[in-house]
Amino acid sequence: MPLETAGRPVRVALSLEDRDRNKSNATIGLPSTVSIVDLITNLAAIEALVAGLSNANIVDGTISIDLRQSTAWAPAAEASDVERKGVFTFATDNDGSFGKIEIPSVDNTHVMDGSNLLRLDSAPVAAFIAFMTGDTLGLGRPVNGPGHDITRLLKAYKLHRGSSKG
Amino acid sequence: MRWEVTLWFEDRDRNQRRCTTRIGGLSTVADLVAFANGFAGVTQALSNARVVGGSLSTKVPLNVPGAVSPESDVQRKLLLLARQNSPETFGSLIIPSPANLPWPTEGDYAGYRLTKSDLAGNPVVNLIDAVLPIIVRPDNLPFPTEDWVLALLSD
Repeated sequence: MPLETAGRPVRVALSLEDRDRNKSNATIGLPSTVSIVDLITNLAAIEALVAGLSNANIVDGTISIDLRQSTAWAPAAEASDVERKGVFTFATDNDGSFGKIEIPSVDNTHVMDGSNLLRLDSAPVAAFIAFMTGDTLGLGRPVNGPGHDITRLLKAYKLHRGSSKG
Repeated sequence: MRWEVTLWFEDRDRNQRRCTTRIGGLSTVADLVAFANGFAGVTQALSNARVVGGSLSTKVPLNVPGAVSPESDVQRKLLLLARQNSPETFGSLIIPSPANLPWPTEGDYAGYRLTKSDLAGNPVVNLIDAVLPIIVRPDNLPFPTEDWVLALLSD
């Protein structure tokens, strides 16, 4: 079930703010085949264009790429429920800075009976922890929000939580 | 650049929730997609919902904004409409709070158009001509570059 970018452009969205602090976006597409180095170069040209044509300030910007499933998928299992999260908290290489990941609809077979703790001896749990704390693909280690390398697991548990947003 | 890799999980009742991690230092979109697929693999193995899609996103490094013009108003929009004759295709961009263009100084000029020749000598011509060849339309097809006009959408 690979995820792919086929057919979708890379979107550059620049947020502009006027004198009265109203905001509006200029959204421009780049080819999905662009390298990240070219993407940065092209971004400078796009920023120059928008700044040259507008007297509002460019105050924020994002680059985003949609991923889609390339194959059809069967409906999820009857027991699936995205509000049942598998929560993993991680330490990083910067003391006091942590990372947290919530996996929707964690399978109950990975939960210790009589507790809400995830079974660390479960092969998929161990594989996930290895992915998050190592460089299993040779592409680099995952980082937390501030950009610190995730180094080790602190806690893994199940949590039922309704959320108003994703 | 630090990228957010987000996956969308869908349960039996078609509720969707996301799961996000971050990675830095990757140099190609292909590497980002490979990382996203690795993340999808290890998270899907823990979940009985389905990974139905996702996204890659990052903040754009921007220059520090200067003083904003008192004339700025993002409710006003500039439409850049580009055209290619063969095959005939169109592309459009919308830029808020247009400025630096020689619009008429009096009267109602909503809908007034500026062609490339109207703007001869104006630096925006070079800016536009530099960008059109490197961007694509929402359907991922090349943006037309043969001719373009600028118009105000509203006032």
